[in-house]
Amino acid sequence: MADKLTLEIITPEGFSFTETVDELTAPGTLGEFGVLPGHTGFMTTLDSGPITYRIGSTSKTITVTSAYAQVIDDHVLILADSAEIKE
Amino acid sequence: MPSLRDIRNRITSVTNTGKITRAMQMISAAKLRKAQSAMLAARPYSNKIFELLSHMSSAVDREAYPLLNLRERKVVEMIVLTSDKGLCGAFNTNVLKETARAMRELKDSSIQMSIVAVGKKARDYFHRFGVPVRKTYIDFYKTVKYEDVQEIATEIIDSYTNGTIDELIIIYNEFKSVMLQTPKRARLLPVEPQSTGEPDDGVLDKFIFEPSEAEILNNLLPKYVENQIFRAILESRVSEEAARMIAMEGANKNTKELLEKLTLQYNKARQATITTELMDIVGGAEALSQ
Repeated sequence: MADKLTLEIITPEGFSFTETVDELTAPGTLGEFGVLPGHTGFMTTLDSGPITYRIGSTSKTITVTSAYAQVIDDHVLILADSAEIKE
Repeated sequence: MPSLRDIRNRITSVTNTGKITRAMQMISAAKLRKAQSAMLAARPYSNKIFELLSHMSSAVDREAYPLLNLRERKVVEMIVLTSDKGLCGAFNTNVLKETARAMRELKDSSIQMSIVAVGKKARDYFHRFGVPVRKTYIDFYKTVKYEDVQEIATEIIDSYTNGTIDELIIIYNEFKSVMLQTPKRARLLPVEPQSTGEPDDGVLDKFIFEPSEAEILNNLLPKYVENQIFRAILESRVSEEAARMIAMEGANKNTKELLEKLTLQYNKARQATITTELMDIVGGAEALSQ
């Protein structure tokens, strides 16, 4: 089992972001959830809010609006209306 | 026979027109590149959402979802995508011709229609023929924002769900290549579930859906329609700039040919005047010497 996740965020206006991360949390409509490597197949809708991901010991945040998240085989795909990297 | 001055004036005016068409061609070329890259940028998202939808919708009961449900066609809504500006060859004519054909077909089967006109050209067209338009959107082509498209889409999807319309079609110019754009009529609502063509690998069976699969699908369907409209608008914009670029290229060639012809005519006329003057002088000198 891979011990890393691939996080991919795309929007219709061409924003595209791919990163290998250790862990991430996202604002699901039914409550915030975390994804670790080895997560089972999962599909959910997201509220607008921050997606926080961790690489090693650094955490970063990307804010998305009304999105879908899909987890398949340690690949997290997020389809968002818009996304913005927070510095 | 036009006088020398007339020809000179025409040469100036043709030269000026040529300057304008050349500038427009260059602007279109730049805009075309920009529009094309926007279209390409939108593709990954479209493909993914299509993939998701076809995975989820292929096996469901269509009756259960309003956006998949086939209803009797009583009112059909048409979105007609044209440009705001002209000088782009047959771009608008093609779309409007296709629209007229669609309207005839609907009339023959006595189905009511309602029209959403996008672009000044569509608005003017329907106005000229006294066709009532339900909604007009103009002036948002410069920068196609996803939110603007969402606004249009949400309004239409709402009127679909509450039963005001029973079907939604969109008519726009499909971008085949820079040289070729063809009018296309596509049905957006009800959504036609697509099968991916691959055998069901059972990936989804082990999936956790949160909230339920049905709720996600209900949420995904409008998003898909929205995205389809967005894509059509982007494609229409690329087609417009391509059509304009080709039209202006033709205009440039024509001005060049016209200028050659006029210059020849001008030189001939000048030569003729000189000859007549010379003959006058020679004739006058001869008369004096006698």
